[in-house]
Formats: sequence, structure tokens, C-alpha cells
Amino acid sequence: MKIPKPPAGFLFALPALAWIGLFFLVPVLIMAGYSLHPLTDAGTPGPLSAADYAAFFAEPAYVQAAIDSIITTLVVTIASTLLAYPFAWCIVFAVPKRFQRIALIAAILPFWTSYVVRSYAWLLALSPVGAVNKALLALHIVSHPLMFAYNPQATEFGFVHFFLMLNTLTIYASLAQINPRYELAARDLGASALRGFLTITLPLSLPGVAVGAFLTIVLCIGDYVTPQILGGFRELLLPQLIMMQIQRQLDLPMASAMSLLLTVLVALAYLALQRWLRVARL
Amino acid sequence: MSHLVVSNVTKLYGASAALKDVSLSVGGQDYVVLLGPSGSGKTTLLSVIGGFTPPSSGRIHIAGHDVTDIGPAKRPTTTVFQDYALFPHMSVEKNIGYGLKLRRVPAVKRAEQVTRALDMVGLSGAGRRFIQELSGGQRQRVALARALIVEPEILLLDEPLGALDLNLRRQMQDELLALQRRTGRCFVHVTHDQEEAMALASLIVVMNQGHIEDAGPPSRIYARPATRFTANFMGESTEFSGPVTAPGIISTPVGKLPRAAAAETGMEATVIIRPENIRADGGGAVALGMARIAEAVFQGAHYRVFATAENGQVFKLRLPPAAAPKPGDSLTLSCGAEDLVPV
Amino acid sequence: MSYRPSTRTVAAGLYMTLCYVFIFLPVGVLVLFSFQSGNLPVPPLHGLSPRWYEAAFNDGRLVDGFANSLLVGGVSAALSVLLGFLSAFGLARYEIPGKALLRALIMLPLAVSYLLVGMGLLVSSAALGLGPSLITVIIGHVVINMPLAFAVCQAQLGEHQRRIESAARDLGAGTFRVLFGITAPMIAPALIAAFCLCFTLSWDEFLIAYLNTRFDVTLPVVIWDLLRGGLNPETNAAGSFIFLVSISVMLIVELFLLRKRRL
Repeated sequence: MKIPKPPAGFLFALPALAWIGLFFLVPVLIMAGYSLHPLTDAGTPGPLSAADYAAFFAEPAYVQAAIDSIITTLVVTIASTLLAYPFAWCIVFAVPKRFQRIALIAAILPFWTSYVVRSYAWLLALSPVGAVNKALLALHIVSHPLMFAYNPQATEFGFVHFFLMLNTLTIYASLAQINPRYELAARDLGASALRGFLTITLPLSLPGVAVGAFLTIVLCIGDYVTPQILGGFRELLLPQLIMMQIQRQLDLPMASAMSLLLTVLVALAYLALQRWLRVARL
Repeated sequence: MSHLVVSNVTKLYGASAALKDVSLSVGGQDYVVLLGPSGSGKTTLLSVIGGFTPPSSGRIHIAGHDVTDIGPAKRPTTTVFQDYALFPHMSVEKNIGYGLKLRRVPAVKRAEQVTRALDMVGLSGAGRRFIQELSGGQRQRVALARALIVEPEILLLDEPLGALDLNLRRQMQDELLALQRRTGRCFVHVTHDQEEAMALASLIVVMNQGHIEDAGPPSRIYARPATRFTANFMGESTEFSGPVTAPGIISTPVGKLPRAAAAETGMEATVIIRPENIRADGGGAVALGMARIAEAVFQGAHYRVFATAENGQVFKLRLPPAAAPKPGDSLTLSCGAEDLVPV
Repeated sequence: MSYRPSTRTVAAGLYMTLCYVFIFLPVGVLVLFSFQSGNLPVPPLHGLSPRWYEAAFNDGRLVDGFANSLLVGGVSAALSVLLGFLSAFGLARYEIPGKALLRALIMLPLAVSYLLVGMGLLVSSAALGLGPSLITVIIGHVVINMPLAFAVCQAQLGEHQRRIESAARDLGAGTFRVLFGITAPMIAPALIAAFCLCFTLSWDEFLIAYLNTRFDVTLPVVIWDLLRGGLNPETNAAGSFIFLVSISVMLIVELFLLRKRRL
């Protein structure tokens, strides 16, 4: 019996698919397996059990960390989207055509630096002896340094700084490819500038907003560096909790369980944004 | 005759002028076609009439009002764009009803009018569909419905049939004309296709390099073009040039020809003649000499024939299929005096 | 539309200025105080001095980290582009059942947190008894960057390229010759852009590297360790250096894209 030849295209895609299968899907499955074998007192993986998951939900501090992660991510996503949209709009519609690329490049230049470096830089700027406080003192706006760093607000601040740039990029891409004729047609039919924007441009730019929001959620909820550097240690977020399980408790099964729970949150976000993400060309 | 009045409009872009002192007067029931090659200024003129481009100087009056300083939103014109610009995130009925919604027409009345508009353009029942599902011809009709439903004083069309194939284009031309007659509105239509212009227009405005070459009904523009450019743009012709030897006569390579236009003696002047008016049967009053056929191209209803005389004069004429012309055949050519048009 | 300078333009200008200041503030502070001649990377600025850069370049850990980052970045970017290009070519040129599913699979790593990728590799290495290693980091970086290389290549393999490839095949070229002799050179700017993008993201990446290395670490991980020592201008210098390399690479990408657009 003749073995059917695999379609040639599939062969080309095979290395990439194999890589993802072997080095991504399989590890995740192994992780899932680990998460179902909680550590015994001896420090070795025990029998099959969902005890770690139960333990997670039973521990108020853990649940609080998950809630804090969700809230932080939502706040950051909403804030960066609200700040980025007008910024991107200005670059597309208020900046003369020949400066648009430079304006965009400049807007995302600091994006291209390690988040460790960026968080450190914010720490420098926001610390009690840092530039912002020194400026406020010099201008006599305050009489002693304010505690900008080492708290959840500093974490959100650091996040918004990064995600402002990311969302500016995705919203720009979306706005720039809208046919300007659409708004022109709307005006021709009698719409004011504001009406034209709200009924035509804004709805058509939503896919870009959705892509930016989704990427923000994924990257924000899984970020360990920013809260660790800027957040202080009163309120821990989920990634910090996971890292603690690895480094202090040496409890890989529990860390695995938490990572999978985090992934579930991301999947929920995807389902919520699905309608606009499908329209967006990625 | 003054529903739309363009008065001395000039449009400058930096040092170059897209429109040079253009003036035009159009009636309320006219189907006006702005005809010309790329760069002639026809699209710029349309844009100025629609309010999208402010003129550098000059005024525009619509239905008696000076609208020069009014933007497209408040101007009583609507436009059908070349790529239709139908809102991709709205259904057909939402697209068509958009202008009504802006004018705060209540939903029930809006739905009625949209249904009537769909019937008028032959798209009954297609209201719920989205733009992506429609063919090119259907999209065009939606664009028309959207623009006409708000009852503009003037409907502007920017090369609306350019994206359609030949058969569909012919069909849409018929429909456009019928629509214009039914609604009784003034249409201003931009195209570079002279056949389209002749099929649709009650008034053709031929434009070239920012100014108007000629304006008038299609039959007159074709048969008696005012300028050489108009003559060449509207169709093929044979040109005879030579100095004016006496009032009304020019001396050309084929002999002395009558030229019914004022010209100074000694000046170079030209007459043209359309291919269908050159006769090879010896019946014409004015003799044009002998010529040998260089090429005969079959076109279905006639042959398109290129013939050359010994002195180099090239003739473009038509012969019926029955004549079966072949390269090398000799022809004796003549025409009627009234068919020679001075340009 | 006639252009009227208006309150709208002024408001836009003001908002944009505020955004730019916000965006550049931390980087500005970082770079400025890397030249601090005093001991602390905070105001007041005592004077400008390159001594912290000297300290950084002489610091063994930083130099090793730099070398490791180059290695990891270069290798992972090369692999990412190769795999991304091949799969983009395969999916663009051939009819395969379930193409949408395959595409989704290839793009999947973009939709999950780096934490998951890094954790997966950590747990798997532990399960296999393998210790932390830069190779694991390279593998992880390919997982997260290859989808981007795929997306960049896919955008470039349009109808225009397809017709040229058909012409080459018509003249007798085999598939591999078409792939590497025709297609790859034709979309070279996109390939270079993809390489630079993958390199920069690998260069900046912290989490996967941190989870999967112990002794041979990449530059961001070294910086992380330095942070334990508090605020130090040497960290500024190292950080500024990382930043400089990143933006230089991305500016090269921009130049390539710019040139391509002029064609």
C-alpha cells in the first residue's frame, strides 16, 4: 500500500511546529503533570492529587495575590489604553505626514530596552533621593521627600510607562491603515468632526486597541521584574509568589500549579477579547 | 440655468495651478460630465464643488447661495467616491441610513426611506448584508443610495465606474442615467472615458491642464469641437493644416479646403474631419485626393482604415465590411464641406 | 481639507509633549547619571565622568554577561528567523489542510506569558535531570521569538514574490534553489529586520534567562544581581549600554524598512 506523501508545505512548517511541540507544548504538559504531584514532606513529588490547587484557593494570601494581579493588570490595561489612544491619534492625524515615522520611532524608542533596566531607571527616578523628589524639593512643592517607590502604585506606574508605548504602537498601526476616505464620506454626508470620529474612526480602530490590550494583559500579569523592583513587599503579585515557590520553598509542583492558574486567567482574557482579536490582522 | 455657478475658480498648489480661472454654469436638471485626461483638473474641480478643497480664488454658488466658505458637511452636495468609501463596519442599511441618522430622522421614518432607497437602486432586501459580501456593482448602488437619500442639490461622482468591467459599466451607465432622470437632480460626473461622457451627459465639459477647453451637449462637442484638443480627445479625426490664402480658404497638401472660421490671411490654420465623414464612393462635394490603404482593422460594424496619400497626408476613415479593404488598395476620397470643422 | 491652526492643534501638541516627557524620563535619568562623577546615581549631578563605564567594562561579570547575551541573542535569532521563514514559506505557498490551525499553533507562544515558557523549560530540565544552562535559554528564546519572525516573513511573501518564484521554477530551478537563491534574497530586508527584532528581544529578555541559568548568565540577569547592591552608577552605565545596543539595532531595522518602502 502506498504511503501518501505529506503535503510539501507541511514539511516546511515542520521544524517550527516540532520546536513548539517539543519545547513548549511538552514542557507545559510536564508542568501540568508536576502540578498534580504535590511535594511530600521529604521534598519529593508525591502521588497524583490536586492538593496543590486546593491549597492555593484555601490560602487567603495566595488568593489575594491573584486578585491583586488581576486588579493591577486591569488598571494598567485601562490606563495605558486611555493614554495611548490620544497619543497614537495625534501621531496619525495631528503630525504632518513627513514627521510621522520619526514621531512614532521616538515614541517607542525606550521600549527597546530590558525591563530590568527600565524598572531600575524608574526606581532611580522615583526613589526618596531620586530625581523627581529632588525636583519637587527644589521647587518647594513639598517639604520632605514623598514615598513614590516601593508600593503598588509605583508598580502600576512602571507598567503604564511600558504599556503606553506598546499600545501606542498597536493603536497607531490600526489607525494608520484606516482609509481616510471613510471619515471624508461621513463629513460629506453631514457629520461633524467629532461625530465622524466616534461613528467611523473609533469603531474601525477597535481591533488594534484589542490587540494592544491583550498583549498588555499577557505581559503584565506574568511580569515578575516590575513589582519586584518597584513594588515594595507588602502586596505581592502572582509572579512573585511563583518565584518564591521556586527559590524559597523549592516547591516546583506548587509553582507549576500557580503558573497554570495564571495561564487560565490569560485564556479568560482572550475569550473576552476574542470578537475584536479575530478581526485584527496579526 | 444657474443651479451651480463656478466663478473664476483658481486652485494653486505651491507654484503649479491645478485650476486656472475656471468658470461654469449648470442647470438644475443637467447631467454634467467633467471629461479630460489625468492632470486636467477635473477631479480638483469636483473637489472644489464638493467643498473638500477650498479654491485659492473664485466663488461657488449652489441654488443661489454662495457656498465657497462652507465645508462638505454643511454644503448641499454629496459625493460618490471612486472606491465608494462604504463603511466596512456597518451593514448596507446602516450605511444608507447614516446621513438620515445625522439629520435626526426618527428610526421608523428612517427605515421606510432606506427601504425605498434600496428599491430605487435595485437592491431590495439586501439591507442586512455587510459591505464585504457585495460585488462591485452592488457596492456602487449602495454608495449611490447613501448619497441620494439625503436629497442633495447636486450629486458628485468621482470616476464611479472605473472599477467595473466593460459589460457592468455599460449597464451601470444606463442605470445612472435612469436614476438621474427619475430623481430630477443635478449630477456632476468625472471621467476620462469619452464614450461614457457621451452616453450620459446633457452637458460635457472638456478639461485640459486646469482650464476648460470646450463645454456643450455631446453631439455638438463631437461633431463641431471648439479646439484641437477637444477634437482629439472626443475621437479620431484627420487633420488638414496649411496657411490661409483667402478668407475662408486654407491651402493644404490635399488642395484648397474651405474653413468656416475667422483667420488672418497667411496664418497657419487647421480643419479636422471625423472618420465616418470621409467618403470613398466619389460622392462628396470637396475632393480630398487619392490615397493608398496602409492598414485596415476589422472592428465588427466597420473597418478602421488608415490610408496615406503620396504627399504624406494620413487619412483615418471608415469603410463598411462589404468593401473588404486590403492594404495596398487605392481610394479616391471626398467629403461634404460642412464636415470640415475648424479648430 | 483646509488646514486651520486651532486649539485642537495646540492641545494635541501639549498632550504629545507630556507623553514624550513621560516616556523618556527614566531613560534620560538613567543615561545622565551614568556619567555621574559622584558616587550615587541621583541628583545632585556633581560633574560628568566616564569612570563608571570604565568600571563596567572592567567588571568581569558584566563582560561575561555581555558575551553570553551576544551568544544567546545571535543563535536564538538565527534559529528563529530560519524556522519562521521556512514555516511562513510553507504556509504561504502550499495548500495544506488545517492551515489556520497550524498558524494558530505557531503563534501560540505569543499569547502566553514568558513565565509559562520559562517555567515549562525549568520544570522539564529538572525532570530530565539537566541543570540550568544557556542552551535552555536559547531554546526558550526561539520559542517566544519565532512566531514574530514568522509573522514578519508572512507579511512579505505576497503575490509579487510568488510570481517571480514561478518564473524561476518555469526556468528549471528546484525548490531549494528557489527558496534560498530567489525568495530569501528578495525578502532580505524583512529577514534582517526579523533577525534584529528577535535579537533585541532576546538581548532584553530577563525571566526565561533568570529561571534557567545559574552561573553563566546573560546581561539582564547580571544587572539584576547588581541591583542587590543598591543604587550604583555602575549599574546605570551597564543599563545605558544595554539600552544603547537595543536602540542601535532597532534603528538599523528602521533604516532597512525605510529603504524598502522607497522601492
